[in-house]
Amino acid sequence: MSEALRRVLSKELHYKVRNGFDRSCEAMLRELRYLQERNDRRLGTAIGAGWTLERVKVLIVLNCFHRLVLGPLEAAYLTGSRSGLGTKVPIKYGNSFTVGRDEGAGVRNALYAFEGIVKGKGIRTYWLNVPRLSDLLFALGQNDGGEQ
Amino acid sequence: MAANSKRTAGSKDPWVLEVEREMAAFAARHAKDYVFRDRELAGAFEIGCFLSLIADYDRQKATVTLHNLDANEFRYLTTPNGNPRNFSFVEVRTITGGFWQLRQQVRVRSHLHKDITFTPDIVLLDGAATINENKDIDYANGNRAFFSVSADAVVAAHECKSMTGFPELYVSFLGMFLAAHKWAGARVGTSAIQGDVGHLAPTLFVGGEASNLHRKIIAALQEVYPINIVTSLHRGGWVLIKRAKLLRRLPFGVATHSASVTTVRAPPRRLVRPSSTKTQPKIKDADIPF
Repeated sequence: MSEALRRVLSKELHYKVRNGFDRSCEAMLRELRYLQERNDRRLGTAIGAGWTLERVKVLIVLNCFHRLVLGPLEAAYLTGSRSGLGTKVPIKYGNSFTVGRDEGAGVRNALYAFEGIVKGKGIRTYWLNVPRLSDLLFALGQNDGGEQ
Repeated sequence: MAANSKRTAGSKDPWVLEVEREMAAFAARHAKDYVFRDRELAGAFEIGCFLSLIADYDRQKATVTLHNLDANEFRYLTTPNGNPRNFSFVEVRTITGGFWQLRQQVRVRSHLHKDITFTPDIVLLDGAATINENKDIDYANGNRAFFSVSADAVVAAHECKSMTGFPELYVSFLGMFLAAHKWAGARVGTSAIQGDVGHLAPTLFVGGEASNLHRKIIAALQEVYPINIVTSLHRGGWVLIKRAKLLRRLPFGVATHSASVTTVRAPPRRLVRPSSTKTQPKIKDADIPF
């Protein structure tokens, strides 16, 4: 189930990030149980559209992972400028990390790999960014990719 | 029991199994690349917002020059404790003849009261703005310099939140907007011009998506104040460029501010803290630095 996926993705995370990731997953899963008990209409529509509970749980884990871990990195590593800042001219963030063409290659590869997997599974980027389960279920039911 | 578990595992959706298998391979291969501390993730998000601001100037054919590089590296100021003069910054020049400094983590001293100091994540300052340095007994016992820039010189202060937005976050940005911009008082109740030319009005960058209700709140706030609240930045800085025409702007004009250097000496240790009784200065139209 989603537990295995959660363990795999959080295994190497820094403990504070992992705690945030776990809390976020648990909150969404709790909400899912609640909606299930109430026979929520949005959940019913999402299930009707082929998103079984098992699949929704997988999406919850991927959503939390993307929002809390990869999203901030995407903002930094996938935004370029004509001045070459962040690519030809690396940005050195103290002694912690550097955003540059060479220095960021590993992070970019990770981001592209993740994107490749989710796209290959028919998961839309928008679904990995929505903050609440109800928004996710609504988007699944409407096959809404957030284009507006 | 065991048999039941086996049956459950056997009946698992192949789609779920595939996702699990591919994500396991992804984690095994890339974990070393995406493992950051929480503070570093917030810093990365801030860098993303900073780069998207620069890309917005690129789009408008402004000249962007990088200053104070260290061996071709941009030294990013990460806390207001550092001396901004020792770190890199970006200079923006437009065809109107104006020039501005784009900096991060520079403390602003509010025009509302000299004791109100705070640090927006990113500030666009008048090109001639000066970083003031003084010693304050209430800061590191007066042993370290306290760096700040006057709100007179602030054109736009931006804040970056790598999180899901919520109404209280959006509304609290107004506090910073009013305290950081001397010109703000004259503009409350008016929206900034909307379009793709000009400086970005003071902006709250939010990583997560906004729900429909949040979008309504954001639209209303932008109608009443000359600000932007840009969400979904976790999708990448291109989000800002994509929405360029919808954003609120401040006209380029020509920067006119000539910041005065205030040197405030450290008060003697026996000094009693002054009471905060100064009245709010009147805001004139001429105070608007654009």
